This record gives sequence, structure tokens and C-alpha cells, in this order.
Amino acid sequence: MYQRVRLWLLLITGALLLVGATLVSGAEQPTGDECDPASAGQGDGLAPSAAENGVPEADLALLQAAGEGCLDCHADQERVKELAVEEETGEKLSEGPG
Amino acid sequence: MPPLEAWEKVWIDLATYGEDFHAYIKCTACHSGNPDADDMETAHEGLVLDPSVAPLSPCKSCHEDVTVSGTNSLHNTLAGYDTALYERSSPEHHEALEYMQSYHCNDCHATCGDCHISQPNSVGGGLLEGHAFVKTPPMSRTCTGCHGSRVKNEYYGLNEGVSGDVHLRQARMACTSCHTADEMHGMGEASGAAHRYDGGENPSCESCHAEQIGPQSGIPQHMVHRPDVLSCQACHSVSYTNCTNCHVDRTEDEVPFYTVEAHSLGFYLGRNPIQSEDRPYKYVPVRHVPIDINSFSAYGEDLLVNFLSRPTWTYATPHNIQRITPQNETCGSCHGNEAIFLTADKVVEAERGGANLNVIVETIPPLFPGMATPEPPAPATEEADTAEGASSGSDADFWGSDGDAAGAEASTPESDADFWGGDGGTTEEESATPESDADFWGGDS
Repeated sequence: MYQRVRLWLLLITGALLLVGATLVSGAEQPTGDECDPASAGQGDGLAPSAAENGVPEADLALLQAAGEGCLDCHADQERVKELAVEEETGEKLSEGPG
Repeated sequence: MPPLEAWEKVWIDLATYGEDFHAYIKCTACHSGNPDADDMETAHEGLVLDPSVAPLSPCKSCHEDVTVSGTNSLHNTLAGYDTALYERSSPEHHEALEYMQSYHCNDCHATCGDCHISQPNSVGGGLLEGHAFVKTPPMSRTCTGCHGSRVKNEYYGLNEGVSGDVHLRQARMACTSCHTADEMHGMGEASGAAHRYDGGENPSCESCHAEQIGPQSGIPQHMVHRPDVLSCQACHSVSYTNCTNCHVDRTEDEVPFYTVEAHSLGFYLGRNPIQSEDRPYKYVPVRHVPIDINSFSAYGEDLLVNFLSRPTWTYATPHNIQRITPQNETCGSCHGNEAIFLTADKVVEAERGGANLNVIVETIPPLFPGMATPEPPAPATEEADTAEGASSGSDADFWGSDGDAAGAEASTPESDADFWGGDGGTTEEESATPESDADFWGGDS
């Protein structure tokens, strides 16, 4: 009896995974076998400006997944203005056209 | 091109990037870093700023053809510099030259990202369109970022008193209109080139102007000047930058810098130093490249032991093409006019030898009776309308830079109509047409 329950649970879990995978693959995907588009990620959410910037809602989830949290800062203009620092490139000593 | 603000260089604009397929690839798939971090510093640990700099960059997984060829393209290898420097040097000095290049040349390598995602490092870098991948790189932010001191000034008309290239002024053509993706990516004829003038002309004027070249063109000047005698630029380009020298060094803090002590605008026709079946021209514009026997002395003594194995005055293709130029106004603009040719007296004594001897013009094509001589553009009186009054006695007269007003006007028309010259002058040119090429070139062709 216990083994049958485990078997059913496995079958249901497998079916759910298949449905999930089908839904994900139904979204806009690139062509080309070797490309590796993100289908999952651990992003914590996009900058609030994303929707205002005209990104279609359906794409936000994929962007969020691919962004892996990087976009939380890098797509937020106010935050990058606050955090970005110019790299020191050394003194400009050169003379003449170059 | 003003440098971008620090934030602009790293801001990802979702309005543009969100529409780009690449936005749906994980950031870390290309840039590495630590996606599980909670703070900025840890998140950036191991970050690869320009993933395309790697020999097997992530670009290759989808764009194998251009990535592989691009790795071997001149833009990536800078092989042209190696070719020129090593020929002037000797094998025992190559290591020192490579060390020098690690300071002064490596920022010039163009990766995929340097053209398609960001501005090149030489102008401070930074994302082009909020990290969207730009299929055709924007000329003013990528090409001229590296080719900014000479080509940009010529093409845009930024050299004082010199108009920009007609392909930009009238046709609004960008660099990529002629310099195709195949050429940029080192594909086809550009594959494996060791120098930018290797192989056939690519791009070539002929690819668009085939009907206007040669005897069948119906253009008198093109009918008498065989295409194997003069390159198109010999008659259709104008003053360009010649750099007398360039010295490189680094500070105690390892900051590289260079000094170009002297440069000037000028136009000289010289003998073609790379004459071949592909480039058969006898005369071409030549320019002094920024090299000196002591250019790299900060990295070792006598590194350029074979300095004159290559000419210091080299084959040039100025990017300031005009239909009407000082040298194609009349026959006498070139014939009998020593000022326009690179004669020995225009070459510094230390460089009057070696490969420069293949460039220096010894005998000027003569001006034959019946050939037209330079005329002033708008003679006020009959007396002024004489050949003597308009002849070019000096460089300054010829180019109108420091000369009298008439000379300047002759070189710099004020309106497009003047500039393009309409259909005028044909009768005069025809009357001056010699009967054969041998006549025209004094039997020297």
C-alpha cells in the first residue's frame, strides 16, 4: 500500500514537471540548438521601472530569471547613479593625435 | 565624442535590452560573478567585464562563424602592427616589442563586445544601447572611437579648411557602407591578413564606381590616366594628416603614454611602395606614418635596427574623397608641379634611404605644350586670367592654405555647385588631352 502511494506521488510529480516544462518552452524561445537561454533563475525581482519602460509583462518573468538579481541594480537608473564609480585610468599624459 | 558618465556605462536599459534575445540568457552565463551574493562586492567577484575578450567567448556558441574568423581578424590580432614593427626590427628584439605592445597596443584590440555592445576602451568604454546588442555598430561611437585621430577628422571634415568626405557629406554613408561585416570579421578575402593592405582592395572604389573607371568611362581625365597609373585617391583625395613621429613610454606607476612631437596636413604623391597586380598604380598618395627610429627606445636600445626596411612614407588611402580637388583641376596641377610630389627634399635626411627610395619621386611628369595649367576660379580681369597668374609656385599656393586669396578660393569652393564643378571645364580638358598615355606620362609609364 505504502509503495503504491509513493508510485502515485512520483507519477503526479513527474506529470507536473512535464506540464511546467511545456509551459516554459511555450514562451518565446530562441532558435539554434547550441544557444543557452535562461529558463530559470534566482532573481529577486526587477527594478520597478521595467514595466514603465515598456517591457511586456510576459517577458518580465523570463528577464527576471535571466537577470539573476543583477538587473535589480543594473536596470535601476537611480541605483546605478548612486553606486557606479568611475575607474581610475591614470593621468592623461599623452600629447598629439593618437 | 564625450565620455559616458560612470552610471551610463553600466546601466541596463530594459526598454532596449528587454527586446533583445540576449536578455534572456543568464547574466552569469557570460559574465560569471556570484549570483547568490547579497552585496555588491561579493556579487562582482570573478566578474568578466568583457566576455568576448576570451578566445572561446560565449559568443561562439551561437555565432561560431564570425567569432572564429573575428579572432583572426586584424581588428583582434592587430597583426598589421606586428608586420610593420617586426620588419623594422630583428627577431631578438621581438620580445621587447611585445612587452611594449602590452602597454600601448592591447587596449586597441577590438573584441565582439567592443563594437556590438559597448564603446571601445580607448574612449572610456560603456554600454552603447543599455546592453542591447547592436548589429551594425554606430560609426560615431565605435569606429571613430579607435580611428578617431586621422580617419574621423578626414571623413567628417574636421581638419581645418578641408571638406569632409563626399561619401558622408552627400551620400550620408557610414563606415559600414563600404567596410562590410565580412571585412570587419576577417572573413573571405580578409581572412588571415597580416596587414590591412594585404590582398585586393577591399573595399574598392570600383565596387560602386566601375562604370566611371577606365577608358570606357567617357570621363576625359579617366580616359587619359590609366587605372594602373594612378590610384583613385591620387586625384580624388585632399590634404591629410602626416605624423612625423611618435614616442611611447610609461610612468613610474606603469601608466602608458605617447608623444607625437610633430604632425601636419599635407598631400603628396609618391611612387607606390606596394605595387602589385592588385594595386598596380604607379603613383599613390603617401603619408608619413607615426614612427621614428627611437619610437620605442624606452623599452630597449636599437629595437628598430632595420628601421628603413619599410618606408616611413607609406601607401595611403585618405578618407576625404572629393570629386574636384586641387590636383585634378588642370593638367598642370600635377604635371610639372614638383610641389605635389614626394621628392627627396621633402624627406628628412635620415630617412632618405632604404625602402623610402621606392617611394621618393625622382622625375616629375612633365607639363607638355597644350596641357592646361591651373587657373584662378573667377578672374576679375582679362589680365588675371593667365596661366602665369594662376600657376602654383609653392605648396602654400597650390593648397591655398597660407597663400593669396585667389589661391585659397581655387582650392576651397564656397558652394556645392562650385565644389562639384557642374559640367564645366570639359572643353578645356579635352583640348588638353594628349594623344596617348606615353605622351601624357612622358614615356615614363
